[in-house]
Amino acid sequence: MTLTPDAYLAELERLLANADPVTRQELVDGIREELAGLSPEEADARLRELGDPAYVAVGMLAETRDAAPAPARAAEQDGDAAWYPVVTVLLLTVGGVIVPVLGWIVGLIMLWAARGWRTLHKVAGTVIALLGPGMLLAGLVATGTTQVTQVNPAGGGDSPNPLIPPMVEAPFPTWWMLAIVVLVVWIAGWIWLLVAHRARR
Amino acid sequence: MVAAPDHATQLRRGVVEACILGLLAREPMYGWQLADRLIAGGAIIGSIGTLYPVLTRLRERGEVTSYHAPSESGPPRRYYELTPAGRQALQRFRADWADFTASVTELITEETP
Repeated sequence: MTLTPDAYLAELERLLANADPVTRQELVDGIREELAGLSPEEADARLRELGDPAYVAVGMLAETRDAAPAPARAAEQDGDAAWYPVVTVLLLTVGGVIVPVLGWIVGLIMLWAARGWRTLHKVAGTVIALLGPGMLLAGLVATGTTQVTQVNPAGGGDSPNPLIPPMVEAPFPTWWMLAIVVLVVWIAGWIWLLVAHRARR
Repeated sequence: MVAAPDHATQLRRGVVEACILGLLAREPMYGWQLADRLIAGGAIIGSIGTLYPVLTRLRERGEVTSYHAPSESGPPRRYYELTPAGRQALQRFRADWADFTASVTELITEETP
């Protein structure tokens, strides 16, 4: 042992810098009390008995960690990896387009398996995810309707009056306004979910 | 592949609190003295570092208190002693331990042909 008592205790304190301060102080004081009043040779022999400061520090850290209360341990494991919510949201948004249907299914499984979202978020995420295909479907139907109405203008077989510009049918702007509202809600929903997940991490 | 558990370590971990209570039931002791006894008496702890977190736990549960007093060799030391709650905890452990060891002994004893 080449460390002097002071150096030994300083090293021990350094190694335990992040440990519980009360317990660390008690340990260091306990060793210091034992060494007080001893000759350098006796103190050296005592420190040899203890072993390397790292050995003592590991003993304390291991004991503290193993006895950590369950909630503290659960909290450590609570968060998903940083990429997890991002990949989930990407799958639920564009995943189903890139890999039809399967992308959304995997996204939904990841959404429900996530630890960083509460049930409320998962239900909301499922609804928002369904809005995506819903919008696509509605868009197709709307386009179809518009085409139909343009092909069959009112007028009982007469060709439309070329002087009157083709009426923009009422469903057209209504559909578009609705689509924009749904799109905004959809995007805001995903941002909300990502923020909610970050707040939980 | 799951590593086989080191049952000696697991067993020691389970009894270290009771062993400290048992030692302190005889007389108040200071940290070094407790560590010496626990290491020498069957390596219940590996190093003095293990002792202090256990003492902190026992104090937080009100089973052990500490006080400063001059030691035989001169400098004042922090001594640990049992509280009434600590004595009760030790009593409960003694009863549990007797039942537990009897059960385990029966379970692991080799069958006689």
